[in-house]
Amino acid sequence: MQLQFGQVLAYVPDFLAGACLALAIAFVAFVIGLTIGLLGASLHQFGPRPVRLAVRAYVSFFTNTPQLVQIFFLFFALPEFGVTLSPVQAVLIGMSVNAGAYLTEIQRAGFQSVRQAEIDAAVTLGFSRVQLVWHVIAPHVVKALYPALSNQYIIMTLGTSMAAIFGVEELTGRALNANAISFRSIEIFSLAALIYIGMTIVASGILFGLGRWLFRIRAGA
Amino acid sequence: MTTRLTNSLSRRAALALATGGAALSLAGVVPAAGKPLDQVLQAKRLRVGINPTLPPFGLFNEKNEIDGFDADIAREIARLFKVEPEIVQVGSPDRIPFLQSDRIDIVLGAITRTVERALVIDYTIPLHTQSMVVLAKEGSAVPINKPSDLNNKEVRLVQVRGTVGLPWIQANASQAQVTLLDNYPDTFRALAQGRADAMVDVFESIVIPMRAVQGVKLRVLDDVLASTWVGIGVQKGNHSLRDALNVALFEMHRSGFVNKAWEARFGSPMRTQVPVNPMF
Repeated sequence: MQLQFGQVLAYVPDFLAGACLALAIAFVAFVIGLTIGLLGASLHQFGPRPVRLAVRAYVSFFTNTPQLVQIFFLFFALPEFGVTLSPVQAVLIGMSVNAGAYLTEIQRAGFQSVRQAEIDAAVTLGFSRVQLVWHVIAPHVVKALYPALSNQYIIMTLGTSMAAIFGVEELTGRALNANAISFRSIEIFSLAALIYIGMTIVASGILFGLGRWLFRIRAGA
Repeated sequence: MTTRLTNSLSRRAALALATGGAALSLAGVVPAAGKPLDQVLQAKRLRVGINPTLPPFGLFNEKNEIDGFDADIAREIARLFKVEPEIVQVGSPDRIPFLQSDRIDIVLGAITRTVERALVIDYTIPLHTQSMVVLAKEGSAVPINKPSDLNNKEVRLVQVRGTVGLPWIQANASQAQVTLLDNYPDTFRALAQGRADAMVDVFESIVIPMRAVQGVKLRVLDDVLASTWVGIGVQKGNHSLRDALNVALFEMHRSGFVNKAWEARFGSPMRTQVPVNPMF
């Protein structure tokens, strides 16, 4: 069997468009998930007991069920209750809520690693809870947890491949379409794999830029 | 610090390229030779790839074994060759790699013959035909009474990824909104839940799954958009096996075996008959 990459090169622009969509979905879901996570970790740290239990229930529900099943529920079960989400909406909401649970857990660990002296100093200076979280804890979390956050983001970027099941035309969906037409499976999926590698490099770059811009954090520092 | 990032990125890029390159060169050294007829006869088994998610072509029976029209055909070919059939489960994206990496000798599963695919695998003479039709839901916002009604941006179509209806839609109903899903159950669920008004697919693939749909009325329009021809796939260049299969298929058509198996599985005759032609 001879591999004929020349026969599949025409798909490259289509695949790159799919890759951009995947990057966009992962980015938006990660930002929403990060926000949910920051809120969840704050509530878990400072909230009253019932709120803490609620956060714990949310985290344990979403980290103990597969993301695929969660999105399947959003896409195929909600219409039975009169809510019909579009493919992109279902995938975005599903990925955000799922990521929110993992990122709550990651950031909770970050919260607990902030030195008491820094918190005491902020309280002495009259910081409110919100100021304390935003100016003292969040920069510390992003800095200390950069590898964990970065991993989560890469997992999410690659995880967009399951969106094809719900009719989102991201990279994997387009590769499956091209495979059905051309039957050049090895060429098609090798090409898709190379583009995914490129995407994770772009995704790492985006996260690095974001951390730097928001908190003046330097990766690896 | 930016330099450090750049370094780390370029190191990662180099690693990625190395990994990708290794994968590609590995793929390139897959044995080029097909498993010729001699090996099938020597091993006394014919390994047949069948997709069990395409009833009635392939399905799991009550004993949880792969059965269906394709299995009937595979067993008959093995009987004629005096070898044992070994049915291997394949899916839509992986069936061609199964064939190319020599895990199966032949592949079935309603594989429509196209020029592009014929550059990658070899086909036998036609085993059966399929008729592309429009399946419409009663009471859709835009009335769908003929195929040309689909070319409207208000029309929402739902299709199984990779099926032959898509090229027809791109050519004839490019205005319609199309959602591609993974399999027939999901696609019919989407129709039933009001996510779509119609689908374009071959009658033979939808006739069984559509029976399970509840809550909505579906109807197949009378117009046949196209007939497609389905052969059995063998590894590119495996002519010894393909030539023997062609003669076996000719005999199976002439004896009426194919049509009998078809009617038993579908409950009706093939819409477009395969002519029995001794010249191939």
